Amino acid sequence: MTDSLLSVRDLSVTFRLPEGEVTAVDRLGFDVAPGEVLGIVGESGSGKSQILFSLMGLLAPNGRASGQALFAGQDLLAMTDTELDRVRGVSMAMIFQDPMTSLNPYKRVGDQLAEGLVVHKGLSWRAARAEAVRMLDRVRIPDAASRARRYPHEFSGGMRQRVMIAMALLVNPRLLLADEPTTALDVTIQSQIIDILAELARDMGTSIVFVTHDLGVVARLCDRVIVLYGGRIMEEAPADILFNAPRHPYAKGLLDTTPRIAAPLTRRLDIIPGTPRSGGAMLPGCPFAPRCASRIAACEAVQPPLIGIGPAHRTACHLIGEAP
Amino acid sequence: MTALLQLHDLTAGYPVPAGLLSRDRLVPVVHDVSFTLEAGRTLGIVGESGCGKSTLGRAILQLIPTISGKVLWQGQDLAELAPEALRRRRSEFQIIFQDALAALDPRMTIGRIVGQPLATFEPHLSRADRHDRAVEALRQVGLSADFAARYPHEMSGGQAQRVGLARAIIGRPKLIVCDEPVSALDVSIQAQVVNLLMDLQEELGLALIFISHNLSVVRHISHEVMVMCLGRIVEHGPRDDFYAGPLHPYSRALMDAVPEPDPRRERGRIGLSLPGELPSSLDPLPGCVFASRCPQVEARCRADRPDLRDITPTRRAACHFVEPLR
Ligand SMILES: Nc1ncnc2c1ncn2[C@@H]1O[C@H](COP(=O)(O)OP(=O)(O)OP(=O)(O)O)[C@@H](O)[C@H]1O
Ligand SMILES: [Mg+2]
Repeated sequence: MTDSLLSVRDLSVTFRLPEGEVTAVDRLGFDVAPGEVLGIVGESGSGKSQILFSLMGLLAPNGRASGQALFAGQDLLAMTDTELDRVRGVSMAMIFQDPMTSLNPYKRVGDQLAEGLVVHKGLSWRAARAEAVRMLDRVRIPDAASRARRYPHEFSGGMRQRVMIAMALLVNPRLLLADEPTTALDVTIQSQIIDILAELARDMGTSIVFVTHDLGVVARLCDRVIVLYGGRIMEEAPADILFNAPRHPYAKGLLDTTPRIAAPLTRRLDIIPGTPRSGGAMLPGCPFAPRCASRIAACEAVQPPLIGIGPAHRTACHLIGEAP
Repeated sequence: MTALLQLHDLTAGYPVPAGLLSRDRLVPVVHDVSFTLEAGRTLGIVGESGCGKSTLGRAILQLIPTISGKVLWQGQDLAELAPEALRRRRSEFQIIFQDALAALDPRMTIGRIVGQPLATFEPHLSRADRHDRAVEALRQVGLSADFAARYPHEMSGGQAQRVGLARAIIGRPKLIVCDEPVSALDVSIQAQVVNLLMDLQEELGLALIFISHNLSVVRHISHEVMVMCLGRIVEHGPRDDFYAGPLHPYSRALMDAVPEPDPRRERGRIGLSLPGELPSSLDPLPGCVFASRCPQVEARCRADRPDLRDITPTRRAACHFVEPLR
C-alpha cells in the first residue's frame, strides 16, 4: 500500500529475562491509512500495548523491537532518540489508560499543555497558554480558562483523560496511538471520550490506532480491526466484516463469549475453554491451538500463515483456505 | 414464609474521625434502601463508580455500620445479634471480590485457604475432614484436587476468582454477595465465571447479589435489576422488563452508553453521548440525584427529590415523570 500513513512490517518485540527471551509480538504487519481508525483487540498479555510502545520508542529497558515501521515514509524503529523525539513532538502522540502516567501532578494543567508548544513549536508562553485553553475547550472541559490553572488531582478520571487527549492534540498529530484510554472510565464518560476521538478522525483526518479488549468500543469507533492472540494476528478485516462474518475460530469465540445487552438471551454464555497464554517461548504452531475446539494436528506443529481471504480481509488458520 | 433477605430503609456509611472529644461521625453513603430477596434468586445492582454499590453490599453483610433502618436475615434483625451469634451466622452469607488474588493469603496453600472458614463455622471438624471439604469445594468450582497443594501466586485471575468462590461456598451459604467478580477478568474467562455462578446457584439454591458496572453481564445473570445513583435506588424491577424499557432517565442513559459488538448499531450512536459528569456524593443537592445531567430536567427536579414509587406491581422508579400505572 502506498497511501499508508503507517506501514508496519515484520514487527517483533522481545524481552530479555533471566530465564531466557520471551516474544511478546511476533512478526506483525499492518497498515494505517490517513484518517483511518484501526482497532487492535486482544485479551491481556496478547501484546497490544507492546506494539504501541515499540512505535513510540517506549519499550522497557529489557525489551527490543525489530522489523520496520514506516511512518510518513521514515522508519520509526531505525531512528535515533533525537529523531524520534522530533516525530513525537510534532506528528505522533500517545494516550494511555492511566492519564497520570503522562501528567505531572505538581504542575498546573494549562502550563503542562503549553510547555510542549513552547519547546516544540517555539510559541511564546502567552500564546501557548491561550492555545492550551482552546484545546481544553475542544475536548469539552467546561470552564476551560479557569480549569487550566488547576492541578491534575483536582480533576475527575474522565476530565484527566480529556486533558491527556488535549495534550496529545496540541501537537496536531497525524497519528494518535491510544492504549485503552476508556477502560477505567464509567460507560457514560467512555461514550463522551469515544465521541471526541471519532470527531478527531472525521474532522481533522487524524489516524488512530486504538488498542482495547472491548469489542463494543471497537464496533463504535473503528473502521478496521485486528484480532490479536499471543502476539500474532489471528484475523484482520473491515469492522463490518469482522463483526458479522468472522472466520478465525478465536475471533468467532471472542464475539460469541461477549455478553450483550440487546440480543436474545441464551441460558449460558458461550465459552472459550482454557486460559489466555502468557509469556513463555513461542509455540511452534498457532498460539490459539491449545484452546481451539477445531484444531487439527497441523495446528500445534506449524504456524499458519496470514493469508488474504477477501478484500482487506486476512486470517491465519489452517482450516481456512486462501481466496481464489 | 419470611423472605431470605429484607432491607428496610437501610442507610449506611463510614465513620469519619471527629475532634478529640467528640465521637466519630458516620457519613451516609447509601440512603433509604429497601428491597426483598428470595432464596435462589439473583439481584443485579448496577451503577457508575462511587454510586455506593459496594458499600451497600458490605452494609448488608454487616461489614460496615448501619446508620438507620434494618437488615432482616430470614426475619432476624442482624443488628440485634450479639457478635458471637453474628459470627456463627456468617457461614450463611458470604462475599467475593473483584481482586480475588489480593484476598488470598500468599503464604497459605489453596487447600488451607479454602478450608479456613470451617474453623469458625464447624470447629468440631477434624483436619482431614476439613481438607476433604476443601477438595470438594474446589471440585464444585471446576478446579481439580491438585490445586489444594498449590499457592496463590500460581493462580491466574480466573483461577483466583474460582478459589474465592470455593472458599465462599464451603460453609454452605444461602447468599453470596459478588462485588464486581468478573470485572478484572478477560472476556473469555469472564464468561466461564458467570456460567459457574449460575450453575452453582442451581445446584446449591444460592441467592446472589451481583454488583457490577457492566449492564451486559448483569443482564445474563440477574432475575431482577436495581440501578443506583449517588447512593440511592433510582429503579428496580424484573430483568426482562428493565432491559426491554428502562423507566428512569438515568437507567436509559446508562443503557444507551453501553457499546455493543455491532458496528451498524454503534455507528449511529456517535455524538449522542450524555454530557456532563455526576456531582460528588459528598455534597448532595436537594433534588433528584440525576438532575444535573438529566435531559428531561425541570425546576421541580432540582427542588424536590422524587420518592421511589411503585410504578407497576413489580417495578419501582424514582422520577417525577414516571407515573404509577393504575
Ligand atoms: N518488561 C517486560 N519484561 C518481560 N516481559 C514483558 C515486559 N513487558 C511486557 N512483557 C510481556 O509482553 C507480553 C505482552 O504484553 P502487553 O503489555 O503488550 O499485553 P497487552 O495485550 O497490552 O495486555 P493488557 O490487556 O493486560 O494491557 C506479556 O506476556 C508480558 O508479560
Ligand atoms: Mg496493555
